[in-house]
Amino acid sequence: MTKYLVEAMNLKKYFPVRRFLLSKDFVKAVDGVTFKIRKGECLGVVGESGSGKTTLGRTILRLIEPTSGDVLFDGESILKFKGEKLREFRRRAQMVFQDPFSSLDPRMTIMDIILEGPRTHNMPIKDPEEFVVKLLETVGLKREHLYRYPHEFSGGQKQRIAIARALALNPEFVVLDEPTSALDVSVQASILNMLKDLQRKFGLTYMFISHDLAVVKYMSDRIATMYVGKFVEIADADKMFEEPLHPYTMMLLDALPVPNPKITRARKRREIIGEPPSPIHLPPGCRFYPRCPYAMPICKAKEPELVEVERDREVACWLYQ
Amino acid sequence: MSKPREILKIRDLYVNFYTYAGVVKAINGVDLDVYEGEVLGLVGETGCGKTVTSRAITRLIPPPGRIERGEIFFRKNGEWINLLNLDDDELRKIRGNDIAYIFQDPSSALDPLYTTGYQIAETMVVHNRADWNEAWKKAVELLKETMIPAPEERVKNFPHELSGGMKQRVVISIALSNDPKILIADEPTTNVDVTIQAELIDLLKELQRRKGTTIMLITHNMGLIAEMADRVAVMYAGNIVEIADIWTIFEEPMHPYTKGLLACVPDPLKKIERLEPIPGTIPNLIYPPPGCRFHPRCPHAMDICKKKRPPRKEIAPGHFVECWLYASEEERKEAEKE
Repeated sequence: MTKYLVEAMNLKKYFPVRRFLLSKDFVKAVDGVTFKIRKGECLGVVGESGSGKTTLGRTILRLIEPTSGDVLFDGESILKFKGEKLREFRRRAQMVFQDPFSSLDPRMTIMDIILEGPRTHNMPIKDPEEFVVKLLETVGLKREHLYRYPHEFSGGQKQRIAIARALALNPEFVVLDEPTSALDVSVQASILNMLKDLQRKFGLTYMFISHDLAVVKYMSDRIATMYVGKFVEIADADKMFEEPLHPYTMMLLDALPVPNPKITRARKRREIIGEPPSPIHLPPGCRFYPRCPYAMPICKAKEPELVEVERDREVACWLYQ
Repeated sequence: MSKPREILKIRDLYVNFYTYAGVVKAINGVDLDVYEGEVLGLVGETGCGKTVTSRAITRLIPPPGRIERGEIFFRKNGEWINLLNLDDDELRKIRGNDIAYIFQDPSSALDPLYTTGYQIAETMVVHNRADWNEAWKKAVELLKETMIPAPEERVKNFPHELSGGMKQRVVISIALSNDPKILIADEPTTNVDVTIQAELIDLLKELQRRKGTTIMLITHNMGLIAEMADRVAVMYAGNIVEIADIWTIFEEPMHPYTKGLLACVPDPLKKIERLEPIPGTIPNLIYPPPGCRFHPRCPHAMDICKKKRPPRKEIAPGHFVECWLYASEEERKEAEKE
């Protein structure tokens, strides 16, 4: 038994893009990511669109095969899982997708949607109806919803159904990929609270992917900042907001509008330089240096590694090495 | 500073949508003043009527929607005109000229078949501000103003060649091309990343300061409001429930919905143990709740709230609330009698 439930080691996922018949380029969606998630914690992953957050989430669940690197789940490499072992992993690790409108089959009733997983995994269930009702109640829905179809529900309710479906298999690890970005703030608040309660109740381990820093902060114990395929900083959630170390994290936090006019108007924002590079043609050295206000010659020459600068805090930046 | 003057007055506006399922009472008696040179934030959740209100101003409501009644006055050259009484030609002279829009999704606001330069120039040509030659030159200038690098090249680009942030800058350029008096920005940064959002906010603030344009900022993002707005109007289910200046809204919100909305937004700078969601869901506006439309979700709901819509009260100068909690004893009794 290890302390860590999920460990990713130099994980890479490249997607080929063909140009002009012969030459082949790659979109380096995930480009060498290493991290560990402790049992029972929530690791938040933030980054802008196109930074590879979703691809990372899918790769560590082996929904897509990584190009190289390894993922350990409870100490075992998921890439070596086969047959029964792989099925067992599929049960233990679940995912909740961003868009509840397209992640639920419109032709299935809620009961069938939730039971599909347990049936596939031949879980012994005495009374399927009671089993589903109990789950629905856990996520704040009612018995009367059992035989309805997804279109009869609002966005927030659909996301609750998607969460109930993930819980039906009694998982240990859940990847939440922008679970509330399609929802209104008041609905978002109740879903976030529910996710927190469920985590405590069932001892779940989360990886929470979002572009919304405020939401990630609320949910996570630790946060990883992702920039074009790489983690540039991993830190305790509160510490990261108190004192961001990586210049990219600083830029993100600077840009974040705070719902408090006094604070938000008093602060001076650093200028934002440029846009993220294309994940096909990355700059040499540190991928952030063209936008970095602290860039030094070494940043252009050599890529910094993610190193631990203090307890529970890793940064990939030459400033700290 | 001189006393602020109104530039737009919305009075008793009602908008319905006639769908197969029934009549959606989307806007239910909205009264709103917009002052010259201010940034007015219009906040609320999806479906509360923010966009419909803003579009009603220049009658951009598509069928099956219909403006049932109301008046919208716009002050042009010192005279008040009721925009809802104008014929289509007269209104077209105001729309895109005196009153311009920035829509939420820049990809669908731009025509994929025309270059960005053409689309910016077209706005000026249509309103007889310039001929094509001049307009084209001005388009380059406008792109420069909105801080697009290499504007001379960008005018020749088609929308699909630009990133989301760039496209939104083009949309902003189009809106600014005729120096509008009022700029209606409907969720201008919803689909963009935080860094680009920050740049767009700075850009709008800068333009507003330089040109003194009145901006109506429609958003559900409280952070954005905190950053930009001078005054805030909070909408719920087709009504404006509270209007106040930015400081009052954040520090002394009165309406239970405003309070609820603020309590469920995660503040990244605070240690939050638990968010407080507003119980219940937004009502179906085909069968809106009687009385105050918020009462089924309100923690302070009283009997009267279920029966009669609360009157608008001015609690302090410029701070308006529509809630029975703040009505006087007499008003409540009066309402009970009816």
